[in-house]
Amino acid sequence: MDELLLIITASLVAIPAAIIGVFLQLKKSVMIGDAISHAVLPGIVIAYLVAGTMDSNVVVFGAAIAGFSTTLLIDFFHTRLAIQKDAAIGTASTFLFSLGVLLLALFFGQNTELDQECVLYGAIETSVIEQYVTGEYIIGTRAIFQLLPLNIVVIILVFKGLNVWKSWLFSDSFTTMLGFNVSTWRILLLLLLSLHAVLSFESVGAVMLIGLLVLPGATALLIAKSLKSTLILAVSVALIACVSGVLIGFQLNISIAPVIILSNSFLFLITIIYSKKHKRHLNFTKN
Amino acid sequence: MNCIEITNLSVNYDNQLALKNVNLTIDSGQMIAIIGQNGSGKSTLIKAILGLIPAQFEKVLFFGQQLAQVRSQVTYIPQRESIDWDFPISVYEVVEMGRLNPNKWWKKTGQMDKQLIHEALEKVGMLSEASKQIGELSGGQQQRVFLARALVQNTSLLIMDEPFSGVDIRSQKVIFDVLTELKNAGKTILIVHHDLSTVAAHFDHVIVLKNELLAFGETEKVFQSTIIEKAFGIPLNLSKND
Amino acid sequence: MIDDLSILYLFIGISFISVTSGVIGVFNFLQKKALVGDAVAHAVLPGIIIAYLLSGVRVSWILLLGAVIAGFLTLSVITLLLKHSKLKQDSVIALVMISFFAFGLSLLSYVQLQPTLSQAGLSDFLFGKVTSLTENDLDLFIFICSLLLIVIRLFFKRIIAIVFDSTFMRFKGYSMVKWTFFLNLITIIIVAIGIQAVGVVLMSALLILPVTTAKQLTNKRFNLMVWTIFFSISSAIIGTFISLNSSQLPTGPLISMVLCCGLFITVSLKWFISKTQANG
Repeated sequence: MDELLLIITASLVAIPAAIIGVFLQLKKSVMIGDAISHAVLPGIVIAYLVAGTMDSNVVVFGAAIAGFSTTLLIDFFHTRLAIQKDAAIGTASTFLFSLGVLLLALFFGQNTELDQECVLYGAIETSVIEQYVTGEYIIGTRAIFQLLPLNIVVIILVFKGLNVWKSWLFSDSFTTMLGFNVSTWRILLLLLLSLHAVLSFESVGAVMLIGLLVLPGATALLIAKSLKSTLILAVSVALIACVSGVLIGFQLNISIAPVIILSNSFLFLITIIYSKKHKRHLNFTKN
Repeated sequence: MNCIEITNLSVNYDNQLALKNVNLTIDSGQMIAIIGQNGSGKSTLIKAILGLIPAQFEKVLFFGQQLAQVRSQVTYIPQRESIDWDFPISVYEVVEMGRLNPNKWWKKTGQMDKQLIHEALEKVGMLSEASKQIGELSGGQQQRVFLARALVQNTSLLIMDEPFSGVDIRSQKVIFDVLTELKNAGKTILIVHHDLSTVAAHFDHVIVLKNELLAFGETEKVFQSTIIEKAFGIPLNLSKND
Repeated sequence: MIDDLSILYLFIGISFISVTSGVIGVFNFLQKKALVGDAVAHAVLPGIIIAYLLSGVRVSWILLLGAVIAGFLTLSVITLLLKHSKLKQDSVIALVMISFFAFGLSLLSYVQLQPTLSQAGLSDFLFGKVTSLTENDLDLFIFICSLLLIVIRLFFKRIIAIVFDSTFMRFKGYSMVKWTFFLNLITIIIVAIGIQAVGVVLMSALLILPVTTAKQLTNKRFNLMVWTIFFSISSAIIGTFISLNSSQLPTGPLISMVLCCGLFITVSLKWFISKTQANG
């Protein structure tokens, strides 16, 4: 039963990550994604300090906005201080992340539920403790009920607006010319990402998240030929990795989040070897 | 009617003047080439009037109005280098983008849209390649796909940035044929052009830039050795192998 | 127990590490490769842990060797993937980095389960802990850092030329393969050393922040080096000092926070001075 709950929780973390990750990669903003997922940390720590929990929606949104403000900080470094892009991203995320770790060490010490290793890979294992039960049936955990609405919003937004996302990802200037406000779509994506980083923090931490963002999409991009198939493939890869990651982690009794990432890496490796062989084969038939 | 009206347009790049005090009034129903050396501000001019880069100006009007009011009448085909050819997108999907409606982002492509896309692909001779990934095409074919995307938008003004760089002869002919047809239907076409040898045959007006407006007018009047020499630093007849 | 003399030695050791990182960071910065150091820092974790598991002892030079091997493996995999797939550079760097790091964390998680192995304090590598460094560690680090600094001094002009204009240097007959290898090598070595003091997660701060701050003050090559070294040393000393006085604060975030404060102070001072000059 615990395995099943963990697989569901992991999947609810991995599905939006896979989708947002595909978008980040096609928009060449992977490092911004990495920065945001690091930078939600101080927001989360302050939220814990103030409210003592992550249950309240206000706290979640507050932390998410704090994470989103990283992009403003990066822009400030890049445009006002004329720091080159890569260094600006590195500086902003380093600053906010170390601020978060220090706050954590100062106010929570070493051995609380919000400890430093949780920052690295979360504690998805503990999510099964807070179960919601009706009658005799377990209907979910707090983590599942927190992540579910985000999943629904992301999936609806992506599939309803797929053509616009496609156009925006493919060409900023053309989409502007059509009359869309491209910065709205960019802000929407980054806001969803920071919201996701906050909600999935307890499960996978701030550092592992980039793996869930990049790996499924990268695997899909090796073989897919349209945005839709990229998204479907990325989500499938993410789901397979979640199932195998949870089961293997459980079996070996080690932290689950890194094992999920490793399963993703393994799937990527298989796919790239397969696609290389396949391509060579295709070239032969062409000649 | 005036298609484009530009008053006192200037653009700065990194504190360097890229374009100085450009004043232009372009009539509808023409095919116009923008020529000049590399770095003379050709692409800068069109990006600036389309609001894609920051610029200072007194007035930039399309059909007598601000761009925002007449967006649906203007389209733009960017330079090849600005496009990620590995992007997972098919030829059909690229053309489909032209039918997006900014006021109804959730809307699916309708039956009439599909008809238009089909016709446009046929016109540029790319219907048989519709399901291919955009990077699998040759440079000329890619350019034809972008022309098809502009066609489905059905706009009165078409602006293109270097559409013929890296394009084969056959694609060049297809593109010029379609453009001539558009012009005859009363549309205006503004093209950043680098191949001086084809200017006289295809364009009825020419804009010559060298970080400012050197000359603008009918091709036979503007396209003379003195002006070209001033713009490029070389006599006209040497520039054929560009 | 730590006595005054060994504390002094600790400060000297940390300063050496931080100056060498700062200087190598300048090269990474000028090549616009600021994020590569971050990737390498995360990715060497499995190397360290495997080295520990194989040797069974926590000896600096063995762990260092493990880290250097893992660093090279990381960069080779990145190069290989860039060559053989259409993925963009930042995706490839991120995915290789996180795969290696996740592997390292899984190993760490396994090590901590074993009662015989868990005492090694390998988790100090995550956020850094200066107090866990022994005098033998410091001997080794100071020796390697001095070596690196001497080599850099010898080849300084050529490195700078390559970093600024690789096309021209290739034209002049320099082998880019060799020089890229050399630049990667010094980055990997300093990262492998640095993480033992400041941890993998914030190692990149030691590389990029000093030069980023120095760049705010000057564009001249010589002054840039001087300011970089100044910011590296001062923040390392202040950070270590605070870290020694409050044992629960990890060293890595402390030093990187001091570096960030340095940047903010520099920027505000610069702004303030330009403002008063404009008014007066």
